[in-house]
Amino acid sequence: MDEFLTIALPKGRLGKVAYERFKQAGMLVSFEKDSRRLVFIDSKNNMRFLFVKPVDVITYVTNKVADIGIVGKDQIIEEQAAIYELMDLAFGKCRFAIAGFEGTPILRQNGVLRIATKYPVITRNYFKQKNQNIEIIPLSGSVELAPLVGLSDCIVDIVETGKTLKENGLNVLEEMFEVSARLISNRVSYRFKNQEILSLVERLNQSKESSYEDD
Amino acid sequence: MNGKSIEETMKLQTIKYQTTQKCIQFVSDLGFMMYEPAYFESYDRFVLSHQRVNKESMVKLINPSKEVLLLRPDVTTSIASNIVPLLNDKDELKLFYYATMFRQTESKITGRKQFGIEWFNAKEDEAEKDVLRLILDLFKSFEMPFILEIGSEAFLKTLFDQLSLTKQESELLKEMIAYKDEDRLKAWVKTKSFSQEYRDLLNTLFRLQGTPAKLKQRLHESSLPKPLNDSALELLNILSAFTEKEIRFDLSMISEFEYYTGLRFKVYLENYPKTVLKGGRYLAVNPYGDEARSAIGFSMDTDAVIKELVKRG
Repeated sequence: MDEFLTIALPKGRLGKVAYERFKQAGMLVSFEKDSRRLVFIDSKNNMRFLFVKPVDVITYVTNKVADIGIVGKDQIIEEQAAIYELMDLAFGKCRFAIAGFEGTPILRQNGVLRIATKYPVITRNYFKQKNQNIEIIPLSGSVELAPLVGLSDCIVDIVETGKTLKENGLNVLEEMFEVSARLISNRVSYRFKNQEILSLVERLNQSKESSYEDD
Repeated sequence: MNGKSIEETMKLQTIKYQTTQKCIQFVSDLGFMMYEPAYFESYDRFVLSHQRVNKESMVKLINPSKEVLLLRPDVTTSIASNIVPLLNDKDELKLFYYATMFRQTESKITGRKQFGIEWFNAKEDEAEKDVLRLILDLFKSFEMPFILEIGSEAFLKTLFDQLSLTKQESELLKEMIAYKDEDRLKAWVKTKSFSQEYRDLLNTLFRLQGTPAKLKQRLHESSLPKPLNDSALELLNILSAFTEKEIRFDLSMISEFEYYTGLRFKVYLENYPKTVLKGGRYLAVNPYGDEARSAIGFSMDTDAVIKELVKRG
């Protein structure tokens, strides 16, 4: 068996908070925060850290290149991957919302709503529950542009502060749900490295509780 | 051209042949008989009885009468529709198959080999032990590290019955269990008026897993609610027939399929990212009729096993 527990951490904002949380729990201690290394061995804890693009975390975990990963709940829902979702890390919180010009109707009895989004699965499932016919316009970024140029009636996206929406004259038309960062595990790794994984969850849980106390 | 030399190609073919022969020998020795599932299913009949299936992933053909057919989308449908109506509720029948299932992706048609068994009207407990023994012996013969994970659909069904959930609540709970999403489950339990013993059980559900010794210890230390304790004892009774270090139990192992009724199991290989075998006790229902028979069976992803055997050399 591989001697290391391999953990895929996302680069960027989510990764920075994750790094602090791991450090607080006694891992990644000698790793330099601004390092550009993609692989780091924490030999004291028998862990190997991979620093990957946030959208790729699930790929690394489902293919068992990493046993564990940290990823936003939005990615988990969108990719519908067969993983275990072991812990809500309670950081990286943001909201999913439908946004568009003020007064845009989102329920149209016989009409089709055109929606631009990076999240077609989430969007399709949400509107299916509402029995609203939709046309999805898949985009990979700057989705706020779509209603401005008439490409879509509205958008479905993650909203953190709402600043980008406001600056483009758009409003939240309906809040959908909240998402946050999750600790995920490959299902085979969960079996073969069960003790190591549960011990990691325990350590992160303790550091989560102490960070609440610090607050 | 796949970039492989003739030696590599023939080595792969040899391992494929040997693995297939080994699987067939194991089950033939136990009295299972070969069944060749049909190549084609009627699209209309199949879709009508499998409403949740992804229609886009099925390989479709048109016959000279302009009827749309599916190229072997699964094995279960063929066996259940051709065999179940012929069986009474007493006669045992042991079948095995080795067949290719076909799928359509955006760019190509793929075939995936599956080997499996179906044991109709199999005696409860005895058959469970025989099938687990077969799986253990078969995977030991591959000489690769594996884990046989065992769960109980009866345990979860009892739990759901006792909680008296609405359909929506039931779906939500299934989802949380499938992902082992403990934080969400605990938050959800707080919003419900379940009795304390069920709250405690749900809050610790994901801890009910590990070695059979752990299950024994857990049942000894504190009792579960009576109906669930009985289900867990049934599982323990089956597990007590084995001493293999490869066995783990998991009482939160949940299936997306409704037809499982009792013991469930999965096999994992250490270096393969997904389940390589899954199965259990289920109710085999003729999808095109009303007939149903209790059965136990499994299907194995032989391509995955062969891939790992080739890697091992």
